[in-house]
Amino acid sequence: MGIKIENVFFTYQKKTSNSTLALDDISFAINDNDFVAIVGETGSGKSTLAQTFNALLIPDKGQVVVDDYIVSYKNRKNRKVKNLRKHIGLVFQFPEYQLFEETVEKDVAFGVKNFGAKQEEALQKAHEALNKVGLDESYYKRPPFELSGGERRKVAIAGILAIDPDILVFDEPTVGFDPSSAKDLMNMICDFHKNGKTIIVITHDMDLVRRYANKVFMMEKGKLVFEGTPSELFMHVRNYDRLDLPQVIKLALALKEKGMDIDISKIRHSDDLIEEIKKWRAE
Amino acid sequence: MHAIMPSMSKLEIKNLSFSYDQEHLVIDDISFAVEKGSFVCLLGHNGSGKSTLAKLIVGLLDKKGGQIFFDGEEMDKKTIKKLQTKTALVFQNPDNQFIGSTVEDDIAFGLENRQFPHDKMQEEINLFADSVNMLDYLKKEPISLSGGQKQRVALAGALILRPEILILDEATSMLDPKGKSTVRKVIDRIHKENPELTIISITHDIDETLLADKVYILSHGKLVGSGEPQEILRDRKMLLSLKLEQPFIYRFEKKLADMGINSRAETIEQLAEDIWASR
Amino acid sequence: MASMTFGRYTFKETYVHHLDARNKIFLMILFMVGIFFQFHLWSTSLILSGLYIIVLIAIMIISKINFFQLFKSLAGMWMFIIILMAIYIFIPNNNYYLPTAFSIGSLQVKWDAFCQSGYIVMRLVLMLALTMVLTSTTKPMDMTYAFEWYMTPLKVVRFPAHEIAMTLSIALRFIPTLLDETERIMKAQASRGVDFNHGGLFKRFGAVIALIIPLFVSALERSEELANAMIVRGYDPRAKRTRYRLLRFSWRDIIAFLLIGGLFAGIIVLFVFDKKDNPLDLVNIISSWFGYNVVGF
Repeated sequence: MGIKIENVFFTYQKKTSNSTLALDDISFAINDNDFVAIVGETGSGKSTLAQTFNALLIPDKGQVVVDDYIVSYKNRKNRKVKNLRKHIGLVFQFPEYQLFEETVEKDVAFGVKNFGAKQEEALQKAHEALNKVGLDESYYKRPPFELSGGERRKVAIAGILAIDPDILVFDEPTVGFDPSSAKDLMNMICDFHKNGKTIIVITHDMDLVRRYANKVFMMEKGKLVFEGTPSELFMHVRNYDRLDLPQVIKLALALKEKGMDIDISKIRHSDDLIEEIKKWRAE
Repeated sequence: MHAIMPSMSKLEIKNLSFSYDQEHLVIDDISFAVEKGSFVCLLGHNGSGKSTLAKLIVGLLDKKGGQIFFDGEEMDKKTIKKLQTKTALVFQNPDNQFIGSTVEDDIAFGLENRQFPHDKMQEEINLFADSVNMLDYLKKEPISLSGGQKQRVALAGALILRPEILILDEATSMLDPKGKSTVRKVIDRIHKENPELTIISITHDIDETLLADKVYILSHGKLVGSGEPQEILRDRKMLLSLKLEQPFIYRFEKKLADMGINSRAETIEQLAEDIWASR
Repeated sequence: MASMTFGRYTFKETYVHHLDARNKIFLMILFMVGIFFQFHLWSTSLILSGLYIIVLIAIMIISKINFFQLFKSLAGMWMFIIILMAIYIFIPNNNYYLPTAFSIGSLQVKWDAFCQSGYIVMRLVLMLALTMVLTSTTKPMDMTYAFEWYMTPLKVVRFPAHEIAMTLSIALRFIPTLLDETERIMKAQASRGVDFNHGGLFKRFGAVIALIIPLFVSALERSEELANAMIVRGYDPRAKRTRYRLLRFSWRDIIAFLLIGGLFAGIIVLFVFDKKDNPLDLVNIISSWFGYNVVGF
């Protein structure tokens, strides 16, 4: 399932002196089974945009189309909107703060039940989702508040996963995690992608973009300023001081400056650069 | 009766142990010493006991075993209040340590607790707010500040108490790249402008450790490695076994070494130089 | 959700803004008490009320109050006012012998009814407006300080004035943060199918639980971290502390005190002279200054 964003505008606190234009004529498309990264500084509108995907926020102008659902001002009173959230799951920053049930399995089942499933079916889906995030049976009956921060985050993700949406949106999934746990989490998200889901990750982490995304959208002050592949982004962003390039790219750019003939768009991993250096040495 | 050791270390930890319940040891027989004026990094994965160690050093938790010495003086029930004034701790969550309703109120909080004279407060506050580049924000409320700004205010609030040891408990881990960068720059500047100040930075971000004089590696409550970052972080096997990732530069150097290019660079630029020079 | 702007502190530099919070609270109470004095003749009450209203309007103009906001909140109370008037008009009380305004069938509507209910409404409006002046011109922190200052004498009986004031000021500091958090939790739960706006009683109740429990848990964790941060910076509620923010009286406070205090004193004096058998007839007194004589009011 894909998403079409068409000329979307959104303003916070309209009609007050504090009103801010958060989304300024955004248009782009995300295709089925894409792994998309949305990047930009804090305040550029990334989170605001994500919230229009599942109708938490309604655009003032323009529309967001997800499968049959249209999120727009005209359609704002449509109560079927709730069903949209069955197909597109949004995982916020620090999602561990949304847990509230007495046990882990109940909390994960909560979302499934909200969309109509009965108790047994919901629990079953919950168990499946928990297994997918690496939490085994020993966790099912434990109270969520007993778990560590990392485990709680996995429970929260399982809670969205259990609903089995076609599209998963993650807002800064690895913030606060140490590099090893971050890697585990991203590998997990990669698995979801391999299983056919469309993945959208909002992030500041350029290494994440480099390693996992096949498409990148960059936002700045509410506008879309870049659309393309990660490699293209790194070439484009080189002149911006604002996003921190992955170190392998920085190294490649430094070598290129010295005169090495490197095609930056081919560099996704350290090994790609090693290959390029080997080639260069052979000349 | 407490012991006065003829030690030159600013902070000395000996056989320290701690657990929250009676079963699982969160800190397991740790010993190390930190020299005055040094910048030390405590590296470890989540759950390795880093934050607990920080709380033990400042006396927020009571140790179960071992000793802590400040300038040779042991920390116990009698000396704890006095020794606590030598330390300052900046926590991870920018919101949960911002007490005042504005920047200046928050920075003033520590001074108020110390019964600092009122007429000298404004000057001190301005001085320290300026040292973290927040002088223009004195009247701002925390809700209008970014994470990085709040952490800088926390730093000012800690430094204004003129601590001898500054402990940073993952002070940048919840910040975005811009916030991380501004806070790191401020910490770097503080370190350079205050050679007498001992800084202990607790982190899981390996790139932050490259600035330190010494690195201690914690894993499951034990100290498993220590040394200068340049040496210790080149040991990839050890880092991997501790679920830590090697800094990119050292990782790449290993790959280059496999190709016959030898480099001991510490920055990207140096690395590029070394590679170019090998042609 | 966070746009509750009625009575919120406005960042202006008016005379009233610069008054000491402690003084403002005291004068506000004086003013309010003065409103409640009732005189035997409606005409007298009317004139004095008019005086109060003029003074209050003057204060409001000086403090640059947003009149529009005030009217909006009053408009919200129209139903209450109508019910109040209806009670006075239609429920018989001891005013049978008083002059009638008009009749509807067998029901006699008295002037007195209008006067009584009107008087209550007027008092209500004045109090509302006065409170609005106080909260718009005084920073919450300063009000907390004033509160602590007034409660300090109670320390003698071990009343924890300081602790309460500290708790209050931290609570105030966290209100915007908690509001943001509430919004975030609502959005997170909505994303997993919770509907806060529709549904029967049970569903709505479940929705509220999914909001309140995370809020509580987060608040508890937050308070533990906060307590640690405070301890580490040397906080001891029982120890002596100096203060960065101090409230100071100024010449503005003295003038305000004299004016409002004088007004209050004047009301008391008039009240003393207002006796049942010799009611204070201000209309006559004032008009006699101008050489007129008004009869039969």
